[in-house]
Amino acid sequence: MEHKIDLEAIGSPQADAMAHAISTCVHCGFCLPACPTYQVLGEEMDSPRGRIVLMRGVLEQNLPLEEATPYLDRCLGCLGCETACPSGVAYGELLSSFRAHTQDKRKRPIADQMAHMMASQTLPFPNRFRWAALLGRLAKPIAGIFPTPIRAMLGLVPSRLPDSARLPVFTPAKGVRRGQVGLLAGCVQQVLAPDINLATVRVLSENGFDVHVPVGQGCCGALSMHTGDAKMARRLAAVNLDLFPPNLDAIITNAAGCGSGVKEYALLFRGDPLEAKAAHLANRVQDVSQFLDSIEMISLKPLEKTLRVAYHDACHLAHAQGITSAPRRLLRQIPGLELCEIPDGEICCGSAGTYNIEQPQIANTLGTSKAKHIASLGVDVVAMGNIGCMVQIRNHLAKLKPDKVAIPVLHTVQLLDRAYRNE
Amino acid sequence: MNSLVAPDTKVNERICELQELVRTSRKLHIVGSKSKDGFHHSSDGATTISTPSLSGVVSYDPLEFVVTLLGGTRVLEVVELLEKHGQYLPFDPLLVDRGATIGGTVASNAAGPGRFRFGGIRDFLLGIRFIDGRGNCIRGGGQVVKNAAGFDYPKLMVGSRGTLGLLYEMTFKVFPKPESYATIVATFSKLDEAVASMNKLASSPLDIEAIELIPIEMGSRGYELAIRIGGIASALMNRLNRLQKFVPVSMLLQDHDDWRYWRAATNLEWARDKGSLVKLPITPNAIAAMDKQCSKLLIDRRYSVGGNVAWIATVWNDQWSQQLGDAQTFLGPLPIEDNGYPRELGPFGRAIKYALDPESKFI
Amino acid sequence: MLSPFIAKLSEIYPDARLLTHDAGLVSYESDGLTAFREKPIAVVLPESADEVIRTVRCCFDSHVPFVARGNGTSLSGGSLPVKNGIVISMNRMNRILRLDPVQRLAVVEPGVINLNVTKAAASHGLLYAPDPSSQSVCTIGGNIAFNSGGAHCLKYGMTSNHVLGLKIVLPNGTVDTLGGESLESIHPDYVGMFVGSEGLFGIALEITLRLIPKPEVYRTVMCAYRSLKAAGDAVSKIIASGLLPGAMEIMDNLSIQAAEAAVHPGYPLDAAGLLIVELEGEASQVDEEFKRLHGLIEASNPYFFKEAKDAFERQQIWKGRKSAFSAVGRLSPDFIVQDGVVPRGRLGEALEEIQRLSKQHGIRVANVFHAGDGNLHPLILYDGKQKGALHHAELLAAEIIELCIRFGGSITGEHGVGMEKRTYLPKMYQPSDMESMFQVRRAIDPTNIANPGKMLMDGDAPALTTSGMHPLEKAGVISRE
Repeated sequence: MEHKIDLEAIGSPQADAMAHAISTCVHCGFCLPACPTYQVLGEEMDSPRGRIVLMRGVLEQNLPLEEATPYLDRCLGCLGCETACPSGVAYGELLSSFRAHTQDKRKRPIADQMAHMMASQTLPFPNRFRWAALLGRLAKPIAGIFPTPIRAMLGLVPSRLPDSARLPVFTPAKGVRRGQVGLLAGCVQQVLAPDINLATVRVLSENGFDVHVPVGQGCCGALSMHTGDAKMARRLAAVNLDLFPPNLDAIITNAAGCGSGVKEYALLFRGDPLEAKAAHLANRVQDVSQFLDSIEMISLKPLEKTLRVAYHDACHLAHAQGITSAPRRLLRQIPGLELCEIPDGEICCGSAGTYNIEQPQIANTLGTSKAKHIASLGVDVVAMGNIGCMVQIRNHLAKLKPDKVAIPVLHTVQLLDRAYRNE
Repeated sequence: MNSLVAPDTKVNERICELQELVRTSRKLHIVGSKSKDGFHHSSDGATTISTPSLSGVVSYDPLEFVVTLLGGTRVLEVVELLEKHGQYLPFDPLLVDRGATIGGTVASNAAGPGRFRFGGIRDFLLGIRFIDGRGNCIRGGGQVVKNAAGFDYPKLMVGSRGTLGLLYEMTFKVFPKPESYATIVATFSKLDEAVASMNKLASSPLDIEAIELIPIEMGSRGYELAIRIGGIASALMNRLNRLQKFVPVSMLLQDHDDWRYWRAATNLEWARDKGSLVKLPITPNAIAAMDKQCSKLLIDRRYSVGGNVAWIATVWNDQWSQQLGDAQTFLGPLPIEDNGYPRELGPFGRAIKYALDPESKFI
Repeated sequence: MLSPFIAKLSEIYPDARLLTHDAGLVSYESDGLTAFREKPIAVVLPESADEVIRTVRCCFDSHVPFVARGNGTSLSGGSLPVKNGIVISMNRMNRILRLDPVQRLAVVEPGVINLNVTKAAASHGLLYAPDPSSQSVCTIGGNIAFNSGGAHCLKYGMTSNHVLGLKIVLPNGTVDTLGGESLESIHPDYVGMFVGSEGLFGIALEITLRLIPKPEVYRTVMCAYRSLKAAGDAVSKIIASGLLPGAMEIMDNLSIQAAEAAVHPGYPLDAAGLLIVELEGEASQVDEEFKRLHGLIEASNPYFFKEAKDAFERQQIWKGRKSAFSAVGRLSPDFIVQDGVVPRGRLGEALEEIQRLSKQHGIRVANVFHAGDGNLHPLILYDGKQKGALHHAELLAAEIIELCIRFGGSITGEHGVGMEKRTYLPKMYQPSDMESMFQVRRAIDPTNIANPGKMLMDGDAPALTTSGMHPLEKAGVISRE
């Protein structure tokens, strides 16, 4: 697509990348059906193609930023469009760069700002988040008095937090030792569902790997990166760059959002003294499903009775990292497990990092529709590889049939763990 | 005053004469070989133009699977010509042995049972030339199998009964003809069973050329389904065996028997000497009610094209013509004094008639 | 301050569905052909047929032109906004109103996506046959307007061959019903006339589509040749043999490269011409056909031959082919897609001529085409940022179009005339043919508000006055309700 962007006037280190992405788009519209917001809102400005036109307008200085902002804010960043795009437009890079470029120039309503701040200042910090969640629980009964975005946040606060669990710094391999890996423990997940990390450690150890969980880890910065706060993202990410021993076979993540974020470190640190280090870490990171799929897994015990499982593709796993078949192959290795595909599976569940906080209505519509699709399958369990999706889907499955026990939502690795432990 | 104009000079000159005739006439009525006499209402004061003199193959390239014909060409000639090259018009033009012309076939939309598989005349007509109500020669469509340029006049002319212009040249897409055919006739005691079987077959992945539903002795002795398949000879037996699992077979027709059966069907022989023959576009769901009515009144009928066309053979009476509504008499006397065009037209049809024939010359 | 016209629209639409702000308007300024841009004065997002009818009446009363748009994928600029006009965006009217598996038909709203009809039909073992490459995005309404084709037209025809009935609103706001549910009709084929009229006859509100049984088996092969001509010759041989494949496609090296990069269907990257042939139908028949096809292909001496071994591989082959246009975005920032048709016997000749023209102009041309139909899709690559590049590309495009006319073909097989090829329509037809089309257009749209400027050049068709009774109104041809 033709553009008249003056690269020098933009003056951003990512200006080239943005202009290139725009010129690669041929405006064919193949991204429209893959875009959750276009599905929900049905207007061109809320589609990837439309957003590219809007960003072009702003960068060409033909369109005021305030005009474009509401539509760009509504983008989930799920990158379903990248998977659908035949021309290879690097939409994710364009959007992150554009958000970073315009971060300081934009004006947001106070309530949005507060919600954004509350999310960005608490989610990445496990201790703060734990406290915030407890406070949130107290505020739940009076949620009605808060503006919508904050109300939405409160809606997501779990009514009961699991006990905090400490991860062992080192867990030795069981049986024959095949190697050693590190684990990126994450932030939100460690508060909301510590069992995922524990299960990951157990499954890796079961398969003959020593597992290192270095102390001092912080948030990987992905949440900040995806909402355009590049400075914050770099600050957070820098903490982790030196923590992992050099001789590991891989650094494992089990949260798709983190995995995709870390894999983008090179772009995040472009031109920064830490660029090389960041790129090195990015190259060592693997999603737990990707890693387990690449080794020969120790065989799993057959289930007592058939278990019907739906696998949900987390956007940051499927679209951002291109990982779709590995988790399915792993689950199929559990004898007696029947895998089901979710209708419209490539569409985002509406979680998308902090999206369910910042765009609660759209997130709700998407969550409900995802829950309905899952419920239509009559499965026993729904599995996925991302904590954000798990919270969102669990919430919406519960809302769908409040009087019934909702379909359990598990991380892929939790299912594997249970199969090893014969639970 | 009725006059018959059948010019016999060379084609171009003849077309010029016809243009002049259109310009100078007040009312015009176009006829081909009159094989479908039901179309020919009394046309008092109208000039009758007869097209058979404007006949012949303009071009035919078998490798291109495209044939261009003058309007008055007999369909039989075309069928025989195509057959020499293993090709055919898959929509089974009607009344071939009664002298039907290609122009009349298009104007009356006279497609037969074979229309079921690959489509009707509308689906095979690529291009046309016609003289409009101003006496201008107009070309629509093209000579290639795919064309999306300009308005689709070829389709518009299908079923236009000569009311939108004088069609004088037509280009068709043709298909390779299946090298062998076979037909199964299945008998049912009840109509609903026959209809259900017909629908089941039509929705199945079996490649079927034609399905006709025929009441036996006006339904008093049950109903039969005639199902035709065609294709490569070595695969046909296999396919027949498979087809037999769908329906109770009472008769198997092959080779010449198959040919004769369908030739008779496309010539509408069953309807001969039964008064008028009326065509009604329907859908399968309409058959039950219609058949009940016909059965009560002892009217012969057939359901063609997988239940998409009802043919009703009857001696007309007023009661009938009112009940039938959207129907076209193909053969025999008309139900009531029929002044042809314009019948009741919607706004779209009115606008098109006005554009192509502003003085309503073609009736 | 709202203009009186916008104020009238706001009586029909809530704010959220009447776009008049900049961000809304610029988003709709182009469709799939970005060489043209035009900002509408408003965009409306109707959710019911009634809203569309009221909008059209509003436009008729105020002499404001309109264009209906689905998902904006037209490659001929067909849904480009009209100057000082509005866009009626139909994509929210996307319901399948009825699907009757027994009578094999579907009644749909115009905004429904083509592939969604196929998906809905699939659960009944049925298929909606027309499959434009953009089938995952394009809407049935747009398919109707442009009589869209696709790879599988060879056996079952284009969109027009699969539309049974239409409810339409004419440019003056009158509603009419054309056709019905039966395969046959006893009236002039108005449905056929409406389909492909590029929005000049009004807007389809409700569409009855014909569904066909899903073929029992598909056998899909790819064969690669060292020259494009060899691939073209193989097609001629297959057609001449009397086989009737469901689809026959050829891609040249540039488009193979692009599609492979986008989708990874496993195309041989060094091929000069890749031929895709698909047989479909009943298993035993297709097996016999396959033997013959195999013999013909062997005789054509490809250096690579592969049959899709399962549904996934077949899907990948098609995904690659159908992504080709957009994938070419990887090779060039801008391109013009051509859509000419030549007689199938002259395919090889036409391809060589296009290659010659490409060399002569020094412009890269990628080629993807429906070989079985003789429908070419040369993609003329250029960089819009370079001065004069578009103009130069257009010159080459013109030569290719003229070549198609000279060969006795057509300027467009399936994309329609739209904005892009409107200057060429008079080269394909005689002045009297063109005049007839104008007459029809004027009779249906006397005030010239339904997508004016597309297909027929506006200058030749002065808008008729609307003050007082229109002559057509007096004649009872049109009416205002």
